[in-house]
Amino acid sequence: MTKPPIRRRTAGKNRFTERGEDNLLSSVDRSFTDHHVGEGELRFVPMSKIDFDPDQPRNLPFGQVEIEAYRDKKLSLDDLSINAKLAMEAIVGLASTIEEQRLIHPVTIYPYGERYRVVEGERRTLAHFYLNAANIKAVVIPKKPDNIALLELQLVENIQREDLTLAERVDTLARIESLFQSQGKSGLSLQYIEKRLGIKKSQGSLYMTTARGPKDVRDAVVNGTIKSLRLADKIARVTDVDERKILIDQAALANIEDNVTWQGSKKPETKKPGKPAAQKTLPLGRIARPVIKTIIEKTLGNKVTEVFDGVNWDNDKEAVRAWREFLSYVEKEFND
Amino acid sequence: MKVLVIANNKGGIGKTTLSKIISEYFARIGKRVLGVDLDPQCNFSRRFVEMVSGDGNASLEPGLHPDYDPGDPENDDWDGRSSTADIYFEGAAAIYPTELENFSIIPAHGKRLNDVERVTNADAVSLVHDQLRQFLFYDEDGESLANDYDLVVIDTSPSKGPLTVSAVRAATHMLIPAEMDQFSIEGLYGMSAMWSRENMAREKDNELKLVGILANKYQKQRSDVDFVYSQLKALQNIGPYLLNEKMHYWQAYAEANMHNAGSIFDLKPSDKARKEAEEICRVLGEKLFND
Repeated sequence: MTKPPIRRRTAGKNRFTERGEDNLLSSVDRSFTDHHVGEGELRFVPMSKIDFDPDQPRNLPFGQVEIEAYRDKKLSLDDLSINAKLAMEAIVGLASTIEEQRLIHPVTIYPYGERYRVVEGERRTLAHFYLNAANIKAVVIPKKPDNIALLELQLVENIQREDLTLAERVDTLARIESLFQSQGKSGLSLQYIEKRLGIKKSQGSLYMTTARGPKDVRDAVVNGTIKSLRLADKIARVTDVDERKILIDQAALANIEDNVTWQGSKKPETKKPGKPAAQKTLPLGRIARPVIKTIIEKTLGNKVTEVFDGVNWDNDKEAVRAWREFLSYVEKEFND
Repeated sequence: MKVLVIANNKGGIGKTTLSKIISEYFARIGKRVLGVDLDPQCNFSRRFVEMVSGDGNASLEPGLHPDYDPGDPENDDWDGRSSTADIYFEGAAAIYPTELENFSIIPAHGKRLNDVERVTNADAVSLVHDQLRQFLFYDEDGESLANDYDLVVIDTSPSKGPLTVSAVRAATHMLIPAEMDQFSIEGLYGMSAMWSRENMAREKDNELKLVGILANKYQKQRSDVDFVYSQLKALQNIGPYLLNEKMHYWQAYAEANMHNAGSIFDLKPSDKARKEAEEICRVLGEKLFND
């Protein structure tokens, strides 16, 4: 008869790690890393405590009262304007999606006394009123964001929407810039646009030339005469009014829509079909900071202040970073 | 006014013992301290207030408030007993004096606190969550408790329920006692989530600060306990929060938990448990008051 194996009492270390606590320890440790103070807490908040902010412009031509009246069949679609009717139907559609799949993106709210006010998520909130839902999934931020933060929040939210028109994007950027200026700050820098709104500098530059451009160009973008961002950028750079008018008329006739797709950093990049462009690494030798600056200035002309606003050319790291960005910028211009 | 919540959703890891020690220590060094007992087991209250068995049930509730005079018409609106449950049901509670000059307490009420903890209606839950903070920081005509106390010590029940959430929401600082074993470490996970969630809803200048994780019931002769401690201490994120001071498994702590027990600070100055408690409280004091 064989003896059963002897089970030795192992030291603390082995007993602990044997049970998989190593994994537990690292999970617990990770949980202590990301503490985003003030970024909002996800909660389920009773709908009975939710209000819209009376000081905030609304996007829809109706509110809680109308949506509840429609739900309770006290209001007919025939009583509404065409716009309101379409919007109401869209809310009902959204409500049925939420009912089936639950709310994926929480709305953002802030406490107001013992109640809460909606910062963003008007349609989703109305859909919840339509559903007579008890609670809504919401990110509760500590206080009402200021106007710039609010617009930013809406823009970032909007950027996720593919159906946003060129005019709407240009318009929102122009609104943020004018808010900045009304507070005595300088205009939007491309760094800011990239960092806060996730719009790449090369594209931010096109948007901002248009947003800051002459009124006739902006109007042409808003009314859909110009549908190409690249074209808008080019025409906005023309100083002569008559020449611009001719170009705008031509744009209307040509009905050009360029392939500038939204390049928000949050949107996944799609791979271009076909063979990738040939790339070659070239040693550029030693280069002095003033030379970097001169090359960039000569190449970009007026655009240099837009793309490299705020770069400290006396700082090695910043100059080198600018040089790298410049190379990718040039490469992109060529590829496009 | 600093508000220290002592929390861990695991039971029996020394929350109440610590609440008592910390309250006594700071009251003895001259801080004006208010204890808030949110644990339905009422053990924090029992040490300082006479508790009685509830009517027809096994849970405890506070005895008559010493200032209560049934003949006084001003006392017509209450029965002379008050507890932390009243904060949730009525938005107000009477504060009981204790034998220590600088220490007062709002005792627990076993059954009624359990009623609060079992609230499920979403509206009621969100009311519970905010109620303690509003009670502590409510200010009308300068009558805020913040004028009367330097430190509030909140003892919580071993749960992550509405009462503990309300305590965390009311707190300026959080202390997590933990045994150095698997289950307590799992508890740390829950506490970290609670701390993080709370901070996400706060403004930057009102951050809930974690004063630390205190290793409790530490036994030198247990190599596994020592090993877990050193493992945690070596971790990049938790490590800095794990306090160097530890609470060992001294008999004096267990005795101090008995009903009507004396204070650990009345032991000989050379007593190991007393010295250890003083050192832990001194370190906590630096984190609470010198930040």
